[in-house]
Amino acid sequence: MFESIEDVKKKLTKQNYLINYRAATAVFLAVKLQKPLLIEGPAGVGKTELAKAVAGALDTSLIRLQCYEGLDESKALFEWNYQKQLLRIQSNHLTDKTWEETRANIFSEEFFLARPLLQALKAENTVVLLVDELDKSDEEFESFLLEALSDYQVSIPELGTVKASSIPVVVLTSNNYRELSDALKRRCIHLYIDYPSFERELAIVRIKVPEANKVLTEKIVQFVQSLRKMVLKKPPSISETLDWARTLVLLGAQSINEELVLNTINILLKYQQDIKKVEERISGLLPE
Amino acid sequence: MTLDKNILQFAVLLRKAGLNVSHSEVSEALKALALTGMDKKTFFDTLSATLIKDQADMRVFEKVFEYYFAPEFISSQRDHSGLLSAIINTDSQSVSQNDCQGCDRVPGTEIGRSTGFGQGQGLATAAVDNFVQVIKAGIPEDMSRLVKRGVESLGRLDEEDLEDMKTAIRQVKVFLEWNMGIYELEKAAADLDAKTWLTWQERLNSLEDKLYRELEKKLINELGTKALETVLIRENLNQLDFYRLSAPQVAEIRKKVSKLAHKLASRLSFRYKRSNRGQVDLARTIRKSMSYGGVPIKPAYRDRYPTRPEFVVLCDLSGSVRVFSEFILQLVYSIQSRYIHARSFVFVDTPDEITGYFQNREIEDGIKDIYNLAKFSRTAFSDYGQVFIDFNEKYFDVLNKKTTLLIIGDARNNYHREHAECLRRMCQQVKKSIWLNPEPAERWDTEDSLISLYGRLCDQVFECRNLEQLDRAARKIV
Repeated sequence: MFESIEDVKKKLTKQNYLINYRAATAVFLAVKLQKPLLIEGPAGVGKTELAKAVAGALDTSLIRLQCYEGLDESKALFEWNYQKQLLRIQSNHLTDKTWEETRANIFSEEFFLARPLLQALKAENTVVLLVDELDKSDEEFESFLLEALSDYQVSIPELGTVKASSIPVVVLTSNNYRELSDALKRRCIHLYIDYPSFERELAIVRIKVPEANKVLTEKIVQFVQSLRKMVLKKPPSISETLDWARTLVLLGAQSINEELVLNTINILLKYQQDIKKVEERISGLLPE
Repeated sequence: MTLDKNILQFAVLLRKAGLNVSHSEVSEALKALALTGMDKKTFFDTLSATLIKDQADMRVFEKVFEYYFAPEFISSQRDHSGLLSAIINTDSQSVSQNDCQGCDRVPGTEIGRSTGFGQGQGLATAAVDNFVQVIKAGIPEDMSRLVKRGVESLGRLDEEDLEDMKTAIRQVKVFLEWNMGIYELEKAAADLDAKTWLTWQERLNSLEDKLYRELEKKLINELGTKALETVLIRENLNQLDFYRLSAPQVAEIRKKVSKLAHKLASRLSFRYKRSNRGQVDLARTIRKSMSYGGVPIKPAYRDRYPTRPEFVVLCDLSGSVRVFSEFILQLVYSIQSRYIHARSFVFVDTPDEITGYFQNREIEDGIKDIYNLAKFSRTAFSDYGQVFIDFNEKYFDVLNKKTTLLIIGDARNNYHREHAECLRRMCQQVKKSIWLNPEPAERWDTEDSLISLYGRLCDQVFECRNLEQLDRAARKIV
């Protein structure tokens, strides 16, 4: 567990995740108050990475629940292993077991498939439960989650109430694809991760892509930062910066020039309109 | 006063400024504070992590925090919590630093306020030079000092300044030779590249922002809690009058409108249809009973089914209600892309259809095109009567029994003829007609406003001057 905000910072840095003081405070509070941590921000700024880093720092496993439209309780919580149950019924049929016996059998732990949410609750030690891209799930699922997260327990008709043996660290991430409900937000510690400042991005690139030389790294970050000032459909985020830096290292670049940038710009920008906009103004954007 | 009370009071102020802060969040914040610590940065981070759940609210939160936990304000409350002194002390240090460096007062500041006309030439150049230099250098401390000096030039503040901050700001700007400074900068920028000019502009904007904050702070310090509340209520976008919005607030409202649109689009409105089961359809049952001599032998049923209302939107784009009309257009088109079939028209003194401008486009581009391409204004003065006549002539066939007619405008007719009969004809043709008036209700029917005359012909009239009312009206309409 974390002892102080400084401790959070130190341990996460050890995991190669550079965290600012603000975010560290939020992580610390979420862990200490045993509240879910809701992380919002543009895609690719390291929301999911933060959860992974926290798991690493706490030296526990990470259980991940990826949300998507149509995700329901059975996929998130638990399912009965239907095929196995069928097999058992058939094999019982050959012997002379009664229906009562069979029924008692097929709804037991053996045929039970715990899905991420239940896994996290049943885990012996504290684990990190990452509910990724919660905004992609349906509203019904969100309210279902609400119940699980407020008391850290769920009711299963055949098994009774399952209470968390140790309360997991819950991290929710959202891209603001849709507005989350107030009820959920109220229960969370909120953290917004924005695009990093020049110094922070520089430090991140240095840690993650140590092969790039100093001048190149600086120029890369400068260029990306100036791109973010433009009005783009999707500004490049840290993950794109890192990809670009790795690409440039692979190409053996020592510095960046117009031609090189134009050839590799599709790594940074994902929309044709954006690329066109940048191409038009490329000479003004390059750092000296 | 204990820390709890301070935090509670702070939460009350946040609510006044339009943020949703629940009681459980406040207790959470207190628990969290016990865990973290009381230095200023941690204090801020802790409160923001526990109280603020939406990044859009962050700007307002920062502002309330800055004002409420300002050393001057906190110490003015006689019995503030001893725990807060840590926060105050760190802050007052930086303030006193500023004082030490001193702001060399321009002579003649205390005598009276500048009216804006005829500043002494000698003084003026000094002020302009100073202003230009500060912008060129862009050192934050210098900017704060400049702003501080400007606000101090106002002398003592009173209720009037609180009521009308724009005038006070103008006076400060005159004192600082603001516009002269911008002129000088523009001249200088002509020889430099575009990048420098952009940085300067950024700095000018931040300077203006600082100016507002400084003035608000001074108001709060001199007029106390009441001023703080007034200032914060102005931040409450939900209740802010549309005609009072500043440019960044318009941008924020845009976002909120699209959220509202999203909410509305996910709701379906219902119609009735014939059905074999469900509610009894009384009208049809009685009609059917006629063939049995008035005995209702077979009941007829009806059921609800989801559907999309059809809209015809008629927007006044004359100066007074333009901002509001744009919000409505944004609202209608955000919904339209999902569910609703809508046709829209804009007018000042003649209507023109603009539906096509929005199809498969960004809303901003569409609105830009309206101003460039649509022909909706002959004289630039609204003339509702003429609009109704022209609409009847050219577009009457878009109205039918399925459509909802939505008229947006202040019904200020510039004393032209009203031609109410044309509006009556339109209203009779449609299923439902609704008028949204962005003017405050107390101004209705004053001067050239004809809202009750026109409103009587419509099924519903809504006052719709802030986001809250727009939200309410929109829910009723869809």
